[in-house]
Amino acid sequence: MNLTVYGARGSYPIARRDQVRYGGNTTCLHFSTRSGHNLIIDGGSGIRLLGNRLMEQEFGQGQGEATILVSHTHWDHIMGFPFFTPFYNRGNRFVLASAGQTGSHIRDILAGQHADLNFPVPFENLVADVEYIAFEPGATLKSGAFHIETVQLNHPGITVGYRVQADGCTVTVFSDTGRISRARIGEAMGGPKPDKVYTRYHLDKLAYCARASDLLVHDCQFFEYQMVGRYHWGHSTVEDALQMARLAGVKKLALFHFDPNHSDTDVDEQLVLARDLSVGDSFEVIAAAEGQQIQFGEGGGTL
Amino acid sequence: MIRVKFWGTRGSITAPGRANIHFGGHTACVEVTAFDVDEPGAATHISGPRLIIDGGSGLATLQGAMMTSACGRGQGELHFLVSHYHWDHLIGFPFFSPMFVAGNQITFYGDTVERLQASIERLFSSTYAPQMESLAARLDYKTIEAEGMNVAGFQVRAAQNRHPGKAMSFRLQYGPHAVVYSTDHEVGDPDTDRALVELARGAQLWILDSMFTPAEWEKSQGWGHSSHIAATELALQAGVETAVLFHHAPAHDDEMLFQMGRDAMTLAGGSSTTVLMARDGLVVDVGRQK
Repeated sequence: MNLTVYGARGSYPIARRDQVRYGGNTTCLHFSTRSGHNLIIDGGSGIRLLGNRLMEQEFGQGQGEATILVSHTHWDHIMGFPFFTPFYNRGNRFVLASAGQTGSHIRDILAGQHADLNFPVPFENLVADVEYIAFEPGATLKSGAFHIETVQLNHPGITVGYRVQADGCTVTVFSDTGRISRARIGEAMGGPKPDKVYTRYHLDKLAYCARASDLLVHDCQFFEYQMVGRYHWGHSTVEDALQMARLAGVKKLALFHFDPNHSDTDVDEQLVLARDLSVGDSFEVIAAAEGQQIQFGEGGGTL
Repeated sequence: MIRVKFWGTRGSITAPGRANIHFGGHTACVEVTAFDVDEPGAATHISGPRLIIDGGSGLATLQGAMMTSACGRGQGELHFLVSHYHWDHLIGFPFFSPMFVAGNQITFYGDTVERLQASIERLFSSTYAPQMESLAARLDYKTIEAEGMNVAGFQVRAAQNRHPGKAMSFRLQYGPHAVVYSTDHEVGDPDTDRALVELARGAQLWILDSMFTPAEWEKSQGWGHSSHIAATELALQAGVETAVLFHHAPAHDDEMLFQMGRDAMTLAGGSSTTVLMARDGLVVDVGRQK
C-alpha cells in the first residue's frame, strides 16, 4: 500500500511563502493498494490536486473507482470536493462514507456547498456514480480492498477516526481530535465533567482503534502554550499525539493538521520536540507534508 | 491618496504551493484605505477611511495586522463590500478573528440583505464550522444603493457584472481619486460592458477579472469570467491609468501568470494605461504625488 499526502494543514488553507515545505492545503490523504484500489480520506482543498492526478489515469476515461471517507464536515475537510474533477466525469464510481453531522446526512451537506447563491456549478453536475453511506461512529466498513474500523473523536459535533487495512498494512487517521482529559466535546462523548474513569474509557477506545498500526496520522495543531483557553477546540499537541502513539503501540507516528499560523519552522520545532520526547519509545515520528509519499512493505511496516 | 492592498488575488479556491509563490494563492480580498496626508509615514497610523472588498481566504493574512490594533481591543469598525456570495469571496470569514471579539462593529454591504445574511449564516452553521467561540462582534447587513452611497467615508457606486447568480462592480471615490473593482465579470455583453466602462471612466485604478487565457475562455463561456486580453481591452476603452488583472485561476502557476502579464502589457503598450498583474501582497497607491 502507498499513501500520498495532498493536504496536511488544518482549519483553513493558507498560502504563505514560509509554509511551502509542509504545504498550505487542508486535509486530504490518498491510499492506493497493489491491486489498484483507491481510498481517500477527506476532501480538503488538497483534493483538487489529487483529482487532477487521478484524471490522468482511468478516472479521465470515466473508469475510475475509489472509496472516500469523510472525517467530518467542517469546511477545511470538504471544501475541495466541488473542485474534485473526477466527480464531474460520468462512469467514475465512488463509495462516499461519512457519519454526517448532527442531524444532517452527508449528501445534503455536500449538496449545500453547491447552493445556487454560493457556488456556480449545481450539485446535479456531479454525474459520477456516488453511493453515499451514512454510518454511526464505531461501525466497521468494507469497501474495495479496504477493511475499515471507525471511532468517534473528541471534536465539536460528530468526527470520525479511521483505521484502514489493506495489503497487510494498517494506517489509522485521527484528525481532528482534542485532549480528552480536559474537555469532552464530541457529541455523545459527554459526561458531566472530565474524570479519570471516562478519560481512560475514551482513551482506551481510541487506542484500540489505532492498535499496532504501521502508521498513526494524528492531529497536532498546537503547541502546549497555545492550548490554554482552547481545550474545547478539539485539537491536539505533540504531547497528545505521542500519548496516543504509546497507548496504541504504533510503529510510526505522523504529525498532521498543522495550524495555519504555523510556519515551516514552527512545524520543524514540533517535530524536533516530538523526537526529543519520544527517545526510548519504539516508534519513529515524522511530520506529514504535502506531496509526501509513504510506502508500506508486504505485510506491514513503512519502507 | 488611496492605498489599495491586495491580500488575496486568486479565484475559485485557495491554491498554495511552490509553483504559486510569486502571485500567491489566497482568494479575493482587497483592502482600500484613504489618506488625507500624502506622506508615506501617514500610512503607519491607519486612521483614514478604510473598507475591505470581499472576504476570500486572503482575510487570513489581513487579520494578523488587524488584531494588534483596534480590532484586538474590541474597538474595531470594519466595512465589507461583498461583490457576490460565491464561497471564494466569503470563505475567509469563519476564521476571521475580529468577528469573535466583543465590541467590534462589522458591517456587510451586498446587493440584498437577504442574500448577504443567508450566505454569512450558512458559512457559520454548525454543520460546516466548529463554533468554538461565539460571534461576539456586532454584525450589520446593508443593501448597496446602486446610485451611490457613503460607505466608511468613500462614495461608493455599483453596477452589475455578467456572472452566473449575479455579481457587482464597485467604484470607490475619495476626493479626486477613484478605484473600481470588477470581478467576477465576463466581457462580451455590450450593454453590461458599456455600463462598466462608464463606471470606470475617470478612475485611476481598475481591478478586473482575468481568469482565463482566450483559449480557456472559449471552452468556458458562460462561466462569468474573462480572458486577460478581453479585460485589458476593456480597461483601454475606459482609459484608466492603471489596470490590475485579478482573480487568477488556481491552475495558473507563476510561469503562466508572468506570460499572461507580458501579453497584456504588450497589448496596452503605447496607450496611457499601465497593466499590473495582481499578486498577494501587492500595494498600489492612487494619487500619490510623484
